[in-house]
Amino acid sequence: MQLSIGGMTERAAPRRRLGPLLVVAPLFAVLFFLIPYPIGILLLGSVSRVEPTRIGEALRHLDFSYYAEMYSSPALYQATLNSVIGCVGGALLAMLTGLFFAWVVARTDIKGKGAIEIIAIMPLFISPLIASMAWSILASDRAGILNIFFKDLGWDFRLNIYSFTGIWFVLGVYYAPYAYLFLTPALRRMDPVLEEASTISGASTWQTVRRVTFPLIIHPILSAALLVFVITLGLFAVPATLAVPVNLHFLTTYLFNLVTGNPPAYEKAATVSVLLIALTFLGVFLQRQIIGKRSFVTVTGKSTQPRLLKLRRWRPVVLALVLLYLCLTVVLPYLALVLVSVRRFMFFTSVASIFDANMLTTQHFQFVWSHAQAIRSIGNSLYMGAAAALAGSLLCFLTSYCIHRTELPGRKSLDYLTMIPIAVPGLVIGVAYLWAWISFPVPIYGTIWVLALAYVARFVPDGVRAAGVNLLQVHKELEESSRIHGGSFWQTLWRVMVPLARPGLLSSMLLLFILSVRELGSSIFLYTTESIVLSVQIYNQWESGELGATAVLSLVQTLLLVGVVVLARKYVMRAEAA
Amino acid sequence: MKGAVRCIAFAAVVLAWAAGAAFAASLTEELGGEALIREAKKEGKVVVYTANILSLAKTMQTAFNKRFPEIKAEVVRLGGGALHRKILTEHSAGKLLADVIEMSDRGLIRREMAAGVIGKHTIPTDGKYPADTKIPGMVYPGYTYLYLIAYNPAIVKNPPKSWMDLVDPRFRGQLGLVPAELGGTPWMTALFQYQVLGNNSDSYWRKLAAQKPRFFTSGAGIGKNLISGETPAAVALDVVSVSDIKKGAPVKFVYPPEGVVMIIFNFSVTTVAKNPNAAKLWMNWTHSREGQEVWTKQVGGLSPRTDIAPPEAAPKTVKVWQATEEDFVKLRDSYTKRWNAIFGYKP
Repeated sequence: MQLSIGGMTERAAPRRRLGPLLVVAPLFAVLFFLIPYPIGILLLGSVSRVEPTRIGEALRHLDFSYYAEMYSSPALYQATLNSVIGCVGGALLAMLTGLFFAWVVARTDIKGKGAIEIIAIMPLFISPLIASMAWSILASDRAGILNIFFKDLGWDFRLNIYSFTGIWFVLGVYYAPYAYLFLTPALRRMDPVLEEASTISGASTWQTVRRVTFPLIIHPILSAALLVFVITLGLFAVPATLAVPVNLHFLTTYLFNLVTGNPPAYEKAATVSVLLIALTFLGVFLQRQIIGKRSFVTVTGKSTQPRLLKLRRWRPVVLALVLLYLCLTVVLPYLALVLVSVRRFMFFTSVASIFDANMLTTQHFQFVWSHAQAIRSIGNSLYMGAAAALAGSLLCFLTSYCIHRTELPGRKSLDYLTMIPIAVPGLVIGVAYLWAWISFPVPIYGTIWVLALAYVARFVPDGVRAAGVNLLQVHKELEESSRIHGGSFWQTLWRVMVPLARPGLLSSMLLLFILSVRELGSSIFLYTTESIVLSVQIYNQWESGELGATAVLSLVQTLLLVGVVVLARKYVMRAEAA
Repeated sequence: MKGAVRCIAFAAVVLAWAAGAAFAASLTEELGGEALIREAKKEGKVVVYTANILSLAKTMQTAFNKRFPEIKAEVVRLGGGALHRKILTEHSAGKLLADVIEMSDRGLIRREMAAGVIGKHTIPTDGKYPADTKIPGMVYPGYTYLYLIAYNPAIVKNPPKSWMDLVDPRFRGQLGLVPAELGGTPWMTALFQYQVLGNNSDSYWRKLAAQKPRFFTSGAGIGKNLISGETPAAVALDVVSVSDIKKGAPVKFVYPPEGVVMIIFNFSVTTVAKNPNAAKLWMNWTHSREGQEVWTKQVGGLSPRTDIAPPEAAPKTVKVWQATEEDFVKLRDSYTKRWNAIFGYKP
């Protein structure tokens, strides 16, 4: 018996060493071309007078004058300042909103928590482009539907979405789910003993919240705010729709203008990209520092249930706030989009004119149906979303497996490689890809695949983390037992790890799919007429003033995402039940 | 005066049109003959890259498809500057899908010619188009646009009557326009404002900039804001929102006495056309009497052909202005830079 096991392990040994190596080497190659190569080209381009894809020559012609020129431009300072003001405000509001939901779900005795949890994360399914377009229909200063209501009510109060307040609001409510998802576990994990001690010592509820609870969660709170700050800093859609019309430029729209000028100023755009990367990196760095501190303060090894606050007469107030959030993020914007999609044109003299049945039409649906490019963009988005989800999850799963489950040399470097895109906004990835692949010997630019590759590169950090969490849940014993019984690296991976990690794999595919279909920042630089995706088509139509058709396509995108999520959940749930 | 100020009496045009109609060539001749049509039908498809307003481009597309159901016309629309960039990038990657290109900016067309994108084709109706509107054998004027003042009559009770009215304090914060550097049409309008309204100075630009106008990325984008009242008045195209206006949308146009800017939309086939015959047919058809009348009658725009009647809604006489091609191309970069500085546009 012993002999036979020994024999099997001995026979399997060379394969076991070779198998993982065969995985790691291609993984490195793939990740290299996905991430450091294009970003390296971008960086090189910012300091060279020569086309950076000719690397050797570019290195011989280094020149830092682009930095000198750009970084002394007052306009860049203004754009940086606007970005910081816009995103800090948005991040603070998102943090407060997320904290509210996290607190309601984790620390109160409110009923219907399942529904509230869904409401709290619903905006994740709505692309920031659609959100800001819908809000510009609702709250533009002169013609916003809500302002028409106020006028009819005789109020002097007017909303103006084209302002910092408007941008703070849109970022604040639509990015609250990120803060919520980050803060809920922290609030749940809090050790109740400290709060109980405070209460027993005679402190009032408010004093306990202020002196005990708040200091305990200040680190997660700051960390959540920084997380939202970092995400929104790289965002293009919101400032493009809400700030640019009033000539307010953010770093992303400034970068966009540089690349889309005639002729495009890639070199200058590269210097701005470096600034964006630096700011994002600073945000990520600070956030990591803070997370480090937090984990020692609030996480305990004990399995404890924090005490739940009895809301009593405050329950209706909390519920009203939850419903208000639902209205602001989902109900009102989608009512506006549905209205625009079935109305001939948008001119309202009064609230009554909004409901004028004579103005109803199906022309916008017919328009989209007869517009080959719009239809193609829907197909492309589905195709590309699926491709990015499949290839991305496979890549992330393999990478994560190598990082967490092997002792291979270089696995740490793999981990670092996959973390790079955290600090690189989508727009920068778009510019880098455009530049790096346009003159690459393998004709990738202009094909549908360059978009899928950019999506994978953008979302690798999310995918690898998700796969990592998933893999760590599978106990090593199962894997070891497969190996002991002679299973090769591939057999173990395919027969043991994949089936066990399947639910997690499916949800990470779903995540990548949603993120890819929503993606605009990279796509806007990389699409061609043939490979155009839905989000770009929506943006182009919006920019062309085709409001009705824009609304129709926005509804299509949302229905697609919701449809796929519902189907996938059903499938995952069925698979798990089975 | 560098630009040519011309006064078109439309009544005279109508007479010329009536006379021209009598000698009109048959449609098949204007389309380039049976053989071309047959070959185009075999190709079955034509891809048109246009900077035209999408709904108007689709009106042309629908009419073309009605005439040639066997040839699927596909329209790809982007603003002028963005379209030019897309064309050059796709071309350099060998991925240009366009069979036909339609753009208002002659300067950008020249750059595309230099890049080897613009192909050769002489339309059968070449003789019908005035010499200063075309580059014979290559680029032809498909449509004529007028850049003028548009406003929402439901919001603006005291409408502007002239370009000078537009810089009156009552329109402060009420105006919309497209920055000069974003396309051929806004650039030519800025040049008109500089050379004619500012008497070869930036004085009109400064007055207009003081009105704090809202910037739009393309002429088409202004339409929805005019209709909703978000932007009560604008420097806009005579065909903006026309399909909505027909359905009752509140937009009116002013033909200012100082003149309106006339812009020629340049059409050409590409050197890389996958459907070269269908591309030629699209060119021939859009420039034929039938195609031009779709533009004047269904869209309501002007035809560059002297033998085609202007649309019914157009006023009897309009003073039109056009930049010389030399000024248009030569002054562009330095002037738009100055425009940006005065208007505080683009960081």
